[in-house]
Amino acid sequence: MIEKLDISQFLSFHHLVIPKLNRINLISGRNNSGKTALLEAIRILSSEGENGVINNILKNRGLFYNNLYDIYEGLFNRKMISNNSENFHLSINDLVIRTKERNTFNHTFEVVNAYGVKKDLRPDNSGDFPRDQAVFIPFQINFQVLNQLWEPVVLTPKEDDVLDILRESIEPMLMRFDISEKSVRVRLKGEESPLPLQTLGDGVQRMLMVALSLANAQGRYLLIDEIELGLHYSVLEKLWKMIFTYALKWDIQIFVTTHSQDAILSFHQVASSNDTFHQSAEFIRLQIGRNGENEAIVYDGNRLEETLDLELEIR
Amino acid sequence: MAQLFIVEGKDAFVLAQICIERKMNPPKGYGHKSKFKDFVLKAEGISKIELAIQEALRKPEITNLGIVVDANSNGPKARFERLKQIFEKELPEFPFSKELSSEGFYQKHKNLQLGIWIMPDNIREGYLEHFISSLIPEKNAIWDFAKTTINELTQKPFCDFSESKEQKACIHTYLAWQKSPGLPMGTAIKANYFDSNSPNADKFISWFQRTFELEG
Repeated sequence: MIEKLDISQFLSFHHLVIPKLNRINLISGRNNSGKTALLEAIRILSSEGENGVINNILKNRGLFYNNLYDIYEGLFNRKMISNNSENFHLSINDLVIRTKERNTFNHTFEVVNAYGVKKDLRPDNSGDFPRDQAVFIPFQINFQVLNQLWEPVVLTPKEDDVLDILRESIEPMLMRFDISEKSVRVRLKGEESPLPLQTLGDGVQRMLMVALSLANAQGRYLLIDEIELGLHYSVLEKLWKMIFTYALKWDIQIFVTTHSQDAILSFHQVASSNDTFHQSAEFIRLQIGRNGENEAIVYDGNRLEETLDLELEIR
Repeated sequence: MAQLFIVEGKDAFVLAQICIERKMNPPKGYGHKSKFKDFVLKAEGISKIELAIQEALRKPEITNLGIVVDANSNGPKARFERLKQIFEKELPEFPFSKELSSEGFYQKHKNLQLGIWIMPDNIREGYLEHFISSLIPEKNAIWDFAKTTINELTQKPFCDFSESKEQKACIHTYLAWQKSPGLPMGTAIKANYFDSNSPNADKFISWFQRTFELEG
C-alpha cells in the first residue's frame, strides 16, 4: 500500500503532500484541481516509472508523438518549464523523472527509482502495452476498456470471483455472462435464452466494470476516475459496498475521484456501516489553498461524519 | 467567491430574516428571500462552531465569513478568546489586530473578510434571545406579562430551568401567547412579533453589512 504521497512539479502540481493514505481513498475537487493527475501519479509510482505507463499517460492526454523525445516535457509543471530552461525535475515520492541530456539536437529524459536505478525514457510504442501495477478505469467507459478487463479474467478462477461479486451485488440468479465485441449478455437460472445485461437494472454495466477491475487488481491498486457518471445514489451505494468488501478481501488499495456530493454521501454511508470499513476509509479534497499552493485536505471516517452532519458542502 | 454566516444555536435563520425584513441586499451570489438563507450555517454548541470555522477556513473560495456566537455566562471576552484560539490553529497568520467593540469585530486580511458578533451586544453576558427581546416594542403587554409569569415560575419548586436560561423561557412564552401561537423565531419576525426596524438592531445590521461588504 502507498502510505503517503509527496508530488513535486508533476503536471498541474507544484508541490502536493498527502501525509497519510488509507486503503480506500475518495478524492474530490473542482475541475482542474488535479484529480486525474493524481491518479496518473499513482500509476507512474506503482509501476516504478515504467516506460509504457508514462507513454500511455501522454497518449491519453494527446501529448504523445512517436520518436519525439520532447514529448516528456509535457509531464512537468508549466511554471517550472517557463522558469527554468535548463534541467527539468519532477518527483513522485522517491521516484524521479528528470532531464538526462540536453544539447542543441536532443533533450532526453530518464527515470530514477528509489534505489537509484536509472532508465531512459523512449517515445516508442510501449504506450500501447503499459505494464501497470494499477488497474485504471477512465470516466469514458467503452467496450474496448471492458474487453481489456475481460481478457485476463475469462477462463480463469477470477471469472468465478467476478460471478460471485455480481451474484451478491446485483442478481443472485446469475449463472454466466458473456462479453462479445459489442454487447454483454447474461444467463439467469430458470431462463431458456440469454438476456442483455441491461435487464439486470440501473448502472449494471458500471458495476460489471468495477467487478472486473477488482478481480484484475487483486493484491495491487485500483484507480477509478469520476465514479459517479450517470449513476443514481442507490447504485452508488451498491458500488461502494462492492468496493469496500473486495478491497479488504483481496488486499487492493483503491483511489477514486469524484465531484458529486451523492458519491461522497454514499461513500460515507457505506463506510460507516461497520468498523473495518470505517477504519479503511479516507476522503481527500484537492484544492488551491488560501496561500496559493496545492493543498490536500484529509478527512478520516470520524471527521467526515462530523462535517457531513454540519450540512456544509464538502466537495 | 462565496460567503458563509455561521450562527450558534438552532434559531440561526432569525438573523437572516431580520435582514430580509429590512430590505437589505443579500451577499453577492445569493438571491433574495430564500437564497438569503442559503449562506447561513447553524451550529449548535462550541465544538460544532469550531468544526464549522475550520471547514470554512479550509475552503479558500470563502471570502467573507461572519460568525455569531452567544456570550453566555462566561462573557463576550472569553468567547472572543476562544474563537481566536480556533483561528490560531487553523489560520495563524490572521492578525486580529482590531478589538471587539459594541460594533462587533471585523477585519480583513488578504482574501478573507472576517466578522464576529457576540450575542447579545458584544458587551454583556447573554445570548441570542436577549438580542431578540430588545426588538420587542416598548410596553408590550404580552411581553410584560410573560416576564412576570416566568419570574413567578422561577420561585416555584417545580421550576426546572436554571437562571441562565430564563430569557429563553421568556421569549418562547412570548411566542406561545401570540395571535399565531408557537411560531418559530424566523417566522415570528415576518409576522412582526419582533420589530426588525428597531434601532436596537442597527449596530448588528451595520456589522452584517460590513462583514459581507453589502451596499445599502
